[in-house]
Amino acid sequence: MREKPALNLKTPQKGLARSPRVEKLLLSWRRTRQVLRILRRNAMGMVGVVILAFFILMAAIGPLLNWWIFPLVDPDSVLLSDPTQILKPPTWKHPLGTDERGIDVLSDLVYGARTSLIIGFAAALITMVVGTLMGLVAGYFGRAFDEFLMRTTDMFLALPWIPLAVILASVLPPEGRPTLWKIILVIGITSWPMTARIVRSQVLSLKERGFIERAISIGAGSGHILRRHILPNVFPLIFANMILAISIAILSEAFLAYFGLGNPATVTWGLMLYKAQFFGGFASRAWWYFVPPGLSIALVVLGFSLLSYALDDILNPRLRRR
Amino acid sequence: MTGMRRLIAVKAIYLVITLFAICTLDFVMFHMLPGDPSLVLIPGRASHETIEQYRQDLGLDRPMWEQYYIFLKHLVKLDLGDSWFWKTPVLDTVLERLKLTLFLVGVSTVIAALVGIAIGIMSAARRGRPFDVTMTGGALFFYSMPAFWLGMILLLIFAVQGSLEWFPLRGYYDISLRNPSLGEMILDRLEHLFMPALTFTLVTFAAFALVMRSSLIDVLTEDYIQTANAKGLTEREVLRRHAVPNAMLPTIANTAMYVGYIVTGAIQIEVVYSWDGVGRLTWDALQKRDYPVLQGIFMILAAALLVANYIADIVTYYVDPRVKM
Repeated sequence: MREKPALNLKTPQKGLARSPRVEKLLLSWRRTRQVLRILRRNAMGMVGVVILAFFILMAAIGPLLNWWIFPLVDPDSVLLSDPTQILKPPTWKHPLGTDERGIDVLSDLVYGARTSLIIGFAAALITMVVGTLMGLVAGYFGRAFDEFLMRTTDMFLALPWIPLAVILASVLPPEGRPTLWKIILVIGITSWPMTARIVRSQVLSLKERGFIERAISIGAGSGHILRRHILPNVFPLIFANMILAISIAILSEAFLAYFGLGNPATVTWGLMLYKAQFFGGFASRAWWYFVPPGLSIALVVLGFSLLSYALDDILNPRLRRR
Repeated sequence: MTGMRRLIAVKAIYLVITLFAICTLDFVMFHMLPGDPSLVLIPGRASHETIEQYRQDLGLDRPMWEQYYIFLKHLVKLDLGDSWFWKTPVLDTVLERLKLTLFLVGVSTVIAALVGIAIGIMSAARRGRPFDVTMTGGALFFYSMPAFWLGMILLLIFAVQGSLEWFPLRGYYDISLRNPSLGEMILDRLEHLFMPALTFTLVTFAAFALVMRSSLIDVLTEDYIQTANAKGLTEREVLRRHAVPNAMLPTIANTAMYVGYIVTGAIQIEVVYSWDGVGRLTWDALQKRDYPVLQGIFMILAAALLVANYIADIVTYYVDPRVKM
C-alpha cells in the first residue's frame, strides 16, 4: 500500500500540475491584463500612453534614424556646426530651424529627449526608493522614528524649493561644475518627503488589518512582514506616485537648467530654453527654438499626469462612474 | 474649543522646532560651500595679511560651534548680515523686493483662485461632457507646462521687437517716464503688470480647478447627495447647498500645499519678465555668488511658507474639527 499523501490544502489542479511560482506568475499576468483592460477603456489614460510612447520612442531610437529623412548630429559632440546657418527659420534641410551654433533644433530635440528623460527617471527612482524606505520604517515601527520623520518632511515641504535647489547645486561636489548626476541628486534629495508621507499613511492603515495580525501571531518577523505583506500592498500606490515624481523631476530639470545650473555640455530640453533666451533667441524672434523644447516638456508631463489620473481611477474604484 | 486651543499650541511648538531645524540646515549648507568665502569677496590678488584680516572680520577663524552660536544670536536679532555685492543689509533688501513679489502674486492668485474654483465646480457638475473634457484637458495642459516657458512664448507673441509689441518687454515700470501724472503712472504700472500676471494666472488657475473638480466629484458620490437628490432638490440646489461647501474643505487644505508651488512659479515668471521681486533677486544673487543674500531669501521664504502652512492647518481645523491633524 502507498503512503498517505501529504495534506493538500490547495485547490484541485486541472490539467498540468503547476508549481506555485508559475501559479503566481499567471496571477500577476491576469492582474496586469485586467489593469490594461480598464486602462484601454479610459480615454484620458490612453492619450497619455500614446504621448509617452511617442517621446520614449523618440529618445530610444531617434538618434539611430539619423540617416533616415533628415541628417541629425549629436549636439554634445560638436562645438559649432555651420556658422552661416545660425538661428535660421525652418527649411527642408532643417525642419525645425537651427540653433545658436548652427545645429538643427530637431537634433537638439531628439538628443535632448534622451538626457531629459534619463534625468527624470533617475531622479524619480531616487525619490521613490528613499521615500518608500523612510515611509515603510516610519509607518511600521512608529514612535520616535516616526515623529522624527514627520518633522523632517514638514520641514522639507515648507522649504522653498528653488533657493534650496540652487544652494544644493552650488554646494554639492564636484565644485562649480554642474554634472548630470548632481542635478539628479538635487532633485532626488528635495522631493522624497512627499512619497514618504503617502507610503507612511498607507502603512499605518495596513498595519491595523487582520492579515498582519495573523502574520505576527504565527511568528513572522518584522522584515518578513514588511517585505511579503506590506510592500506588495503599497506597491500600486508607489507606482502611481512614481509617475508623478517623473514629471516633477522633468520640470525641475528644465527649471534648474533655465536658472543656469545645468551642464552646458549636455543638451537637455531645459538647456535649450536657457540658450534660446540668453543666446539671442528673442532678438531674432526664433520661435522655432522656443516652441519645440517647451512643448515637449509640457506634453511629456501632461502624458504622465493623464496616466496617473487613469491609474487613480483604476486604483480607486469608488470614483469610477456609477 | 479646547481642541482648537490644543491644536494651536501643539502646531506652534512644531513650528518653532521646524524653524530651528531650518536655521541649522541653513548654517550647515553654507559652511559646506566650496572654497573660502574670503577669496570670493576680495577682488583681484590679495596679500596673506589681507585675507587673514577678512577671515577675522567674518569670524571664519573661530571654532565651528562658536560660529553657529553667533549665527543664531544674529538671527534672533533678525540680523541676516550684509549683502556681499550690494553692501546693504540682507533683510531690508529681501523685504523690499518681497513687496513687488507679493503684489504680482496677490493679484494673480486671487484671480486664479476665483476662476479656477468656478471652472472646477462647473467641470465636476458636467463630468465627462465636452465642457469638462475641454476644461480639464486645458487645465492639465497649463499645469504641465513650465511657467517660464509660457512667459517666453507670450513675450515672443506680444512684446518682442518686431512682434505685436502690445506690452513692454521687461521691468515693472518705465524708467524713461519723467514726472508722470498719477493717471499715467497707474496706467504704466498696469501695462507692465498685465503680462506677468496673465502668465501667473494661467499656470495657477489649473491647480485650483483640478483640486476643486476632484474633491467635488468625491463629494458627489456620498450618500447624502443621493438623499438630497431624492428629496427632489434641483441639481443646482444640491450643488450649492450640499456639495460645494463640503468640497471646499479639501480645496482649502490643498491650497496650503500649493503655496510652495506658487512661490516656485513666481520666481520663474519674475526671471522671464525681469520683474524685480524676490525671484529676480535670487537670480541676481546666484549670478553674483552673493551667498548671504541667497541664505537670507532661503530663510525668509521658508519662514513665510511655514507660517502659511500653520495658518492653513488652523483654518482647516476651524472649518471642520473632524479632520485628524
